[in-house]
Amino acid sequence: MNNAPTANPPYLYRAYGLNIESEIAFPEMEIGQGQADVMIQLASGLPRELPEPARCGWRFQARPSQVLLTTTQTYTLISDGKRIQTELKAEANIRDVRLLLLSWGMGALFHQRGILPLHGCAMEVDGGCVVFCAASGVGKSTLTMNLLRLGYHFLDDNVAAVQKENGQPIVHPGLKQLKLLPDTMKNFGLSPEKHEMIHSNESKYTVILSENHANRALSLRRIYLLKRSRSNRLQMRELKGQEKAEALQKQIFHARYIQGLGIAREHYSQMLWLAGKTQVIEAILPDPRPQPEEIALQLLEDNARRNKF
Amino acid sequence: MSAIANNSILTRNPEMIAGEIDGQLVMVSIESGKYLHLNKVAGRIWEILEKPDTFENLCAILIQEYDINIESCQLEVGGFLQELLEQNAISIA
Repeated sequence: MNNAPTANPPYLYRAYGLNIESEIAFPEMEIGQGQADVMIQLASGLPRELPEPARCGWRFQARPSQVLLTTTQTYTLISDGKRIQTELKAEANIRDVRLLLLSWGMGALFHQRGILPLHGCAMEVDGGCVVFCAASGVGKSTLTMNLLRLGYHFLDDNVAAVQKENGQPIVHPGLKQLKLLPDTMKNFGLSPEKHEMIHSNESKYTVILSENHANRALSLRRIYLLKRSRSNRLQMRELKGQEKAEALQKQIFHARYIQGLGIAREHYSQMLWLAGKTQVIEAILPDPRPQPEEIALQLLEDNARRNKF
Repeated sequence: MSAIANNSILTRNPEMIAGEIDGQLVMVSIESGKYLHLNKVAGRIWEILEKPDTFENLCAILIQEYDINIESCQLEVGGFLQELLEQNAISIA
């Protein structure tokens, strides 16, 4: 908690274009000010079931305006895109609860607010936002660290929260943390023992990088979908039409809440809009892997070339 | 498509929504989340059916837009309607 604000709770933060008032300290969020858009509250007596849930799945129930999460450590209710209430069980570890609230909790909140959360790393590149999406193990964190080393800033390491503003897709800065595996950290001179693990059951660590965090909302320029295959060079292909829409849909963070929240019509309309507004590039990274810096530089070069058109 | 009479009413499935992406008319089912795209003529039929209409009226509009006679139009439109039916994009009553 060395990065927590010194004042007593509730704390006021700013992330994803929202002012968030919280009774729990989140060192991974920037300090905010002004009227709260979202409240994160410690609660008791939360319901164990939702009345008439429209959809039930693994550890969640959803109905219009509400998602209830039941995990080993909490009951958490996300309502109206405005309120996240969490009831801690006796065995709750506040670090694990923070991760839950920032991933599953914020995921539900984004959908309730009509924000499109893309699962990827949002970077500030040449005055715009470029999002890199990849399955686990492809090398996204290494790419992110290389881009940071080259002086670029990140908006969020894990989710690009896309919002429609003046008819354009905009991404706001999210959390100022990276979630890194020990091997990646060591490659960049970071000591795992000096950082907090993100969760009791995960081997990644939280690395807070305030100075590398972007401080303004940016237009979404394009999305790179990183994949790996046996080839000796980086291959790029721009996706179009239906293929693009389908590829984008697969990047949606916590899509499992959509049907239960009763927002499918709005969600898919937004997806068609987003697909019409943004470029999606499939980038096949070579295997065996070349120097990671080389991949970062080639992607930057590709991005700069596409910016000219 | 012999089941389609001239006065058959063609209606869009309200569970399908469409948008243009890169010049392609892309549809998505809000129930299944499945995306598909329509070719130019099927897309035009979808546009015309913004309000439900008869098969006869649909063909009357299309023969004005395409260089085709009424018999050929009815035959070909039947094929496109079949495609839209298979995709569950429209219903016929």
